[in-house]
Order: sequence, then structure tokens, then C-alpha cells
Amino acid sequence: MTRTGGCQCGAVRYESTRAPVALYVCHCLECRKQSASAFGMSFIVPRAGFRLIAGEPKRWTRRADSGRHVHCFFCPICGSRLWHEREGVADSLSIKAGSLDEPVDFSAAIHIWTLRKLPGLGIPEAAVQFPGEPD
Amino acid sequence: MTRTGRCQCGAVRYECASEPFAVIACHCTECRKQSASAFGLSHPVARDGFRLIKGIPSFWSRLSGSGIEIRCAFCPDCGSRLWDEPQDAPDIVVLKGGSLDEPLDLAEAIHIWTRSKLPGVIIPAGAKQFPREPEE
Repeated sequence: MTRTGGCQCGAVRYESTRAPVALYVCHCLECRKQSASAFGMSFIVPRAGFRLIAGEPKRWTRRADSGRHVHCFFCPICGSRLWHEREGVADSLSIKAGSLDEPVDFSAAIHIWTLRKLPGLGIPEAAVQFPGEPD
Repeated sequence: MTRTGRCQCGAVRYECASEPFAVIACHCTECRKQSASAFGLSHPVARDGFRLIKGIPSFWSRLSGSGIEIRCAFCPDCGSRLWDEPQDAPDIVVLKGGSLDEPLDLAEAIHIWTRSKLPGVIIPAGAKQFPREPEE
């Protein structure tokens, strides 16, 4: 199934044709800042089926705790984060799930860095969860 | 109590001495795209106590469902959204909750636009919630 997504203003658009690998909800501080919300959401897809279809995103790079670089793509007009590419991970990328046009199913998500979760936020009881980074 | 906030890369920073009015979790599609996450977090404060202390944000404007222009501040280097300025409320700045350095307590959050919330998102049983925009 082909999925489409884009930023809030619509200047940058992408499509993803391959089945997703996983959906993560990350409660770490970086993801909180990145989303400016409660947590970040990563929809991991194979890089092979991913394609930019409109606009030109801007790239910001940060160094993760692992020492590897994370390239973060966002819309230069409205700022919305779109996807991340990890140094050393050639075959997949992480779409920021709220940028997808079709809503994702939150109940299927794996929660990571729950140690840093905002107080008062509920995680579904049945959800797979990790206090930090999964092994 | 003065609180501080910043974008992810730290190029833009603000401080806020005014007391917040509320914590609002908004599940509308605009807030979903804006956060690239499940919902947006809005934290309206009086503009009086709000001050930019580092960097220069970029602004993008959109019209709300009711036709009001909203100026949205974000970091030009990393894209993080920082705050919104609704043009019908010049005394108010709406901080994006995740940009604050001190974690917000969501137990008191008011949930709006719950009719478009992602399937599987849990809203605490006692929380105030509205299917759309709350009535004035």
C-alpha cells in the first residue's frame, strides 16, 4: 500500500510504497523537543520504497548518544519535521508518523524511553515498552 | 516562576515569567502535522512575561478554521516549532508544550478535537475533553 505524507503547509511531500517495519513512540528529551509535544513518533519504512514527490526539505544533523549522526529533514517554510536518516543504517528510514496523511494506529506502537515520559500521560496496558533504548 | 524553553538544536531560546492559563492537548489534523507526532501540546501564557532570549525564529502563517491568522514561530536551523501567536489575541502567546525545558504535567491537560484523535491514544478518564473546539 502506498502511503503519502507531508509537512503542515504542504510544500514538502513524500510517498512510501513498502510495508512499514515498526512504529515507535519515543519519550526521550530529544523527541519531546523535536515534536514540541509529549513524545516523538517514528514509523520505520524501507528506504527502497521512499521517494520525495514535492519540495525540497532542509537538513539538520545531530549526534545521537551512540555517537552516530542523525540527519533530520524538515520543511524550511513551516518547520514541520518529516523524516530522519541514521548514519550507518542504509536500508530504512524513520518517517515522523504525524506527517503521514493517513492516521497511524497508536495502539500498535512500541514505547521507548518511558523513563522520560511526561507525568500524566497514559500508555496502553498491552503496549510493548522499554525504559530506555531497546536492546 | 520563570520557565525557559528552546528548540531541539538550542539556536532559539525563550523565557516565560507569566503563569500559564492551561495545558491543551489538541488532536486536530493541523496539530498532528505540526508536531509530526500524535497531537499538539499548547500552553497559552500572557505575552507580558514572555521574552525571546536567544536567536531569531522564522514565522509561518496559517488561517485557523475560524479564519483567524496564526503566526507560528519555529527554529530556522532545526525546524522545531516553538510558539504560536493567534492574531485575534495579541496579549497571548501559545507555547508549544514540548519546547519547555521543564516537563509539563499532562494529568491536568484539556483534550480538544478528540473526534480526530489517533486510534489507540488514551485520554485519562477524568480529563476534560471536547470533540471539537471548546465553546467560548
